[in-house]
Amino acid sequence: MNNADVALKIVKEAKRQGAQDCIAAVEEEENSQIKYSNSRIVNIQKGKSVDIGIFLAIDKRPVITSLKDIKPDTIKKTIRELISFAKKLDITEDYYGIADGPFGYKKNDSVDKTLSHSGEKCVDLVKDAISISKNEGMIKSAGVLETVQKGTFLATSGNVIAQNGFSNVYFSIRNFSSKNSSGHSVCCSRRLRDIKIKEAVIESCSIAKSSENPKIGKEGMYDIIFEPLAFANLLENVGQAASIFSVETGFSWLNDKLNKKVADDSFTLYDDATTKNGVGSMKFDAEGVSVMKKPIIKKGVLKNYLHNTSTAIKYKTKTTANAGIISPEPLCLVVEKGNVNKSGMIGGVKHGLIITNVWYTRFQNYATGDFSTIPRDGILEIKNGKIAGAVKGIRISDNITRMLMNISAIENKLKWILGWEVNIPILTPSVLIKKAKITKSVE
Amino acid sequence: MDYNIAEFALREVLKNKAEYAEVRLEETKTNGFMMKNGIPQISGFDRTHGMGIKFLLNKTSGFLSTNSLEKNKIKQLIVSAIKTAKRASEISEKIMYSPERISRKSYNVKQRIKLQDFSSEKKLDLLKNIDNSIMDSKVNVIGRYLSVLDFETEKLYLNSEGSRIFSHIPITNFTYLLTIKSKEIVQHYWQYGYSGGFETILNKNFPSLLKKEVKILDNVSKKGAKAPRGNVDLVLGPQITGIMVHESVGHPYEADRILGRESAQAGESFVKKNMLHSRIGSDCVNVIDDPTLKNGYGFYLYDDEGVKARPRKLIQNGIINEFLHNRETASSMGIKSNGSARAMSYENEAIVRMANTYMAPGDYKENELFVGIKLGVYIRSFMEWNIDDIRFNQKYVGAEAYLIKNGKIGIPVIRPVLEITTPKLYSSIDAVANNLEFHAGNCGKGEPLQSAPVWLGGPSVRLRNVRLGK
Repeated sequence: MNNADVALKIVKEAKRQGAQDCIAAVEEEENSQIKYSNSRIVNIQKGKSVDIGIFLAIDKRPVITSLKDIKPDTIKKTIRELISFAKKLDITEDYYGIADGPFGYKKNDSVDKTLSHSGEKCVDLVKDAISISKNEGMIKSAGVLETVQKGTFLATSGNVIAQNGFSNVYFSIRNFSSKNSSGHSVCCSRRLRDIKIKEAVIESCSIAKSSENPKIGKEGMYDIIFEPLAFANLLENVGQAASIFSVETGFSWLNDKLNKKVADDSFTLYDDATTKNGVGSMKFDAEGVSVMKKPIIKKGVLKNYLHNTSTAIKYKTKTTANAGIISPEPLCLVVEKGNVNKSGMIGGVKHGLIITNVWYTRFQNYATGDFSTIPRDGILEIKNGKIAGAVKGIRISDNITRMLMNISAIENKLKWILGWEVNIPILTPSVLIKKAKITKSVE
Repeated sequence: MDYNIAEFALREVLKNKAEYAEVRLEETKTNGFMMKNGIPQISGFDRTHGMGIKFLLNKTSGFLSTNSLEKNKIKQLIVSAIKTAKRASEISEKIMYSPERISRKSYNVKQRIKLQDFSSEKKLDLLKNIDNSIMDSKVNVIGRYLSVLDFETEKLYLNSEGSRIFSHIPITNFTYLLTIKSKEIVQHYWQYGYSGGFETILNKNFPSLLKKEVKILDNVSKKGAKAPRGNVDLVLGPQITGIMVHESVGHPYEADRILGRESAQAGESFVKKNMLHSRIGSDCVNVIDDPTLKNGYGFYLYDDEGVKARPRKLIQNGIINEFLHNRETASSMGIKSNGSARAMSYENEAIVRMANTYMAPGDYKENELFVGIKLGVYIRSFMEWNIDDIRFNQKYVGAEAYLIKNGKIGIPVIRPVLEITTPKLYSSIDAVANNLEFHAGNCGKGEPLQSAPVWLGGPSVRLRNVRLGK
């Protein structure tokens, strides 16, 4: 049986055994990673997997499982077990079914089929990255080069039969120009030949060099320029908070904010996996609905929560094509670019900082948006429109709504970001946020 | 489990000229149940299996994984990985492993109430009882997210030196997020996790525990005053001590961080090799990481490199005593591994991880810690926390906290903020109580990110003259 036959057989069998709704997704993946640190390769990885996910609902009882193998007997047995498991559960009162298809889909995005045998090429690319870094005077480099190639076949009881191909290349480098100064940069693309490794290496070297001899930062209110890598970390939290599931469970500050102001007028954020050959582009969500571009925040106003078919019916709206297996989720976030260039942004700041990267974003209260996050790598101080040195040892302790409301400039250039704490592809510019609160530890 | 396929894979890697090989064959069964504001949500069960293979070729480290366990597919993957490793060896770190004992062992964790015997109806009933109990409190709890999860993993480990280890470890977890509309909106997120049968969850009486919890948070919100700022004495409860030792003792003592292997993402450490046996805290500070603790969320008896686990005394009487090692870092420092290699799935390489990290209890009763404090704050639980990537600069924000005045607990205070460096934190502790508790956490490290179940433990501790911030 090929993957299409497997998915169709699962749906047929589930319906035969009494399920009203069923989704079967067969996903085949090949991935690789070259990991390097201290300017040496420390590990190479390769992985191959086939995952078969099954969702079904019987009498408003939704359940999920995965299949171990595709033997006809195993399929029958697993569905029997899943239906018996479902029948023992209580009704999920707010479950309203899956999407009714069929749907029309956009044309295939490009898939790099060379990735499955690009191991040696990837080693050479890492070797070059380390070599460029050394030539730029770096004392050590660390990071990864990863590739993923994936094919998904989806069949549902809602007349969906769909197929999607996907590939992604991700490169991350953290360069150290001294013990206390580092710069981090990432790049990603759908094809290996499009990956801009050299640009990322040069950017990381440049951040590292400009952040040498940092002094301990001071507490207070600063105008902060968040570079794309840093801002993407915050945006991922915004995207997650827009899922109706997060709103209902308390993991969001966007409750009761629909059509209300949640950011500055200049800020528009889309969930958009439709871009042709975009890093996060795909054809359909987890229930087979064709992906669509929709604003989450438009000109500062919250325009949409992210829905699947069931939650959309509950809230008397339409699905936004954001179905995940368990709950709606953002697919790919895109910020509308502004009209300022970076030097113009810096020039407008009297007392501020440039944050190039953050990590460990944690909320004191998801419902109010109080949080803190820790800048890492180069942190540059701006005085009277000019870069005036580097700082370290600080923390941003603020409120996410207040910060989004205080956006005062958006760069006219966008960059794709993926990262360790950025799991959704995000296309974002740098932004300037006025009066953000900086705190620090006491020794 | 198909032992033969694991042996086949091991032989196949060696046939391809690897000088060392190890195989992990794993099967995991998971059951998950969730309730949102009193309504059961999607539930499920899952059965995953697969194989992870690690090898050294020309002293270059390679790892591959697959869940297609057919011989020809495994062969193809090995050949492809070996080819990449050969090319990588031109600029790779030359890796050696510490010599370790060959082990042949089979073990499993006892379950009084087996996970498979505790039905899905009973698990959902438990969530319903907890939700009803929260609502009985009469507190305005506007958001209730509850989940109960269990999984059991069977793992076969074999390496080319002759070790053969089988383990069966069941794990349970209960997680919640409560959102309360009181004087203001307050939240608390927490989880409990254990190794063992379902008795580990039932023993805790969560319906009563969460009812109490919402009443406390409501009281803190209604009656809470502003927390004092500036220098005061602090008493930190076991929940804070647990996260504190995990973040600023366990992590910076991971030898792979110290050596820079994780420097791109998980970060490095302010602790350097030459700081071993130097002072980091006051005499009363003793911190241990022990994978062998009964019911520990991070329990194991042999690590994922086949090394026998033992308690690691990270800090003894305020002195840095030991780092966490796998075979690679141990070899690099010329010692033996202390069994800290863990992988969270067959798809992940094993890296240096914590298991159950805790501050050892002292002799004081908790209430004795308050004696002599003129003005201070007692922080019992927290919500927000974070720490920088060298584990030096950390923050904990209290959820449940009280003023201490003239040696006595007083009114609740709202969101006291402790932002402090690691040496200052551990040198400010002057008394440690005997009320040791363990809580559960999911520790993130590695690329791709691996989330490891761990226990975070400790008793209440007293800190003198530290700053509470904004």
